[in-house]
Amino acid sequence: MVGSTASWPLDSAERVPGDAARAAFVARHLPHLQRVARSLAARADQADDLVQATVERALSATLPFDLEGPVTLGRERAWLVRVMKNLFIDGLRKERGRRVPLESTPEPEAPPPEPEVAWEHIRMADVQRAVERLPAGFRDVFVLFYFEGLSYLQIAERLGLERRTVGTRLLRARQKVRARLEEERASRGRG
Amino acid sequence: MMAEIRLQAWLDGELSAEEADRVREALAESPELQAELDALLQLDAHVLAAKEEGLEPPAVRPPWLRRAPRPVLGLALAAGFGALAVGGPWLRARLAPDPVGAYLASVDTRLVAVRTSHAATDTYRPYAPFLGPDVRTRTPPAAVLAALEEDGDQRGLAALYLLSGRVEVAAHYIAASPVSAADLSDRGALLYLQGDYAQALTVLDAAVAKDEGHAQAWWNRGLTLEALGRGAAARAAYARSAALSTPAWKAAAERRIAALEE
Repeated sequence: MVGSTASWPLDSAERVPGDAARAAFVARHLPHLQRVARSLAARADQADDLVQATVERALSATLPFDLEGPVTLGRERAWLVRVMKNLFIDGLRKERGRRVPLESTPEPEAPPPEPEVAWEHIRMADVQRAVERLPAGFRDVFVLFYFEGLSYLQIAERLGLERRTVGTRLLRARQKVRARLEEERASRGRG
Repeated sequence: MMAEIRLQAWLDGELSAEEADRVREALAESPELQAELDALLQLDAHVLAAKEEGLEPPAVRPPWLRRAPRPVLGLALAAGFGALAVGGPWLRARLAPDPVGAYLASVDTRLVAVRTSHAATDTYRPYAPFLGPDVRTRTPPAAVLAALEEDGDQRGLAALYLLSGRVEVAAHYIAASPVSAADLSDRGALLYLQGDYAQALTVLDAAVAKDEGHAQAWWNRGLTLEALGRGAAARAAYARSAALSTPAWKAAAERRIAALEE
């Protein structure tokens, strides 16, 4: 259905004169969005559709930040990824609705829990301090995963751990970083 | 925690297509999993954006530092331990006497019959299922559990809880889908303690097929065969374990064989 996803923002920039900043905003996050979509969707065509829907939303929606202002790369990306996640979950629910007969569909679910971190206020320096503060055993796994892009198996071989232990440590490391990001943010106020 | 681990593994591309489909089905129905997915994606977005902006990550420790033998370092530096107070938490954590080793040295009995594949915990201790009238468990010190938790040492936690007679807690730390001989042996030990001897035997057969030099798996297999009333096969399993074990465990296996021959 979609040929080259990389051309959309540029096409859009041509279609919407004067909105080049917004097209550039989407373009600089497109590789990340494509990677995330491939993780979420079961098939490549579904991943392409998810990217396209996210890009269309990003090009038309009212943004919660000013692209001309001091917005961080992380804030921009986090917003785009949340748009994609919401579209993805909506798709999963619709799919489930098709499979589960209407009369057995449960009552509307409770609203999702509040996010534990005020993600929109997180800065790069918070990330740096949170990662540096990780205990060494967790930090090594976290750094190899995010900064060297290694798989669980590659990390296991590099550190002499079991693959299962890599998964556990990475989960704990992520939980610790999340908690510390919120501490870092709270310690300097909402700034 | 298992649901979070599976969700994370799915997002990281570490699951098979079938497992991934099951995660998507669970996600459609669980607001908690959806919130967890949101948090994972937000974290990924911020960390990878920081990386693109030039964030320099801390260096991964070299192997000699990762594998520092803490008990030896602890002994060597015990005399000047007061000086560590000025070394910061990182230095204290690396050089402090090993709390796990110190605790294990103080435990002189085991509360379950099985052996575990965690080498430090598998030192021979006489089997004594009761500490006192109706007392069948002990509680490992929080500092010891915290040290293992901090190291992400699942096998160590499982072994420590088993040694302490706390089978149901240990179950949380034992691989549900074991692959290595060590994990198969621990899973088999758990199934034996839970009374599922038939399943235990299947798993322990797989353990020794994977590694016929696994002394603990042979021992656990001996226990299981004994429970199933298969004395001759149990004796053979104990004999295999004895041939692979330290003198104390060898003597224990020989006592089991002798008891079965009576």
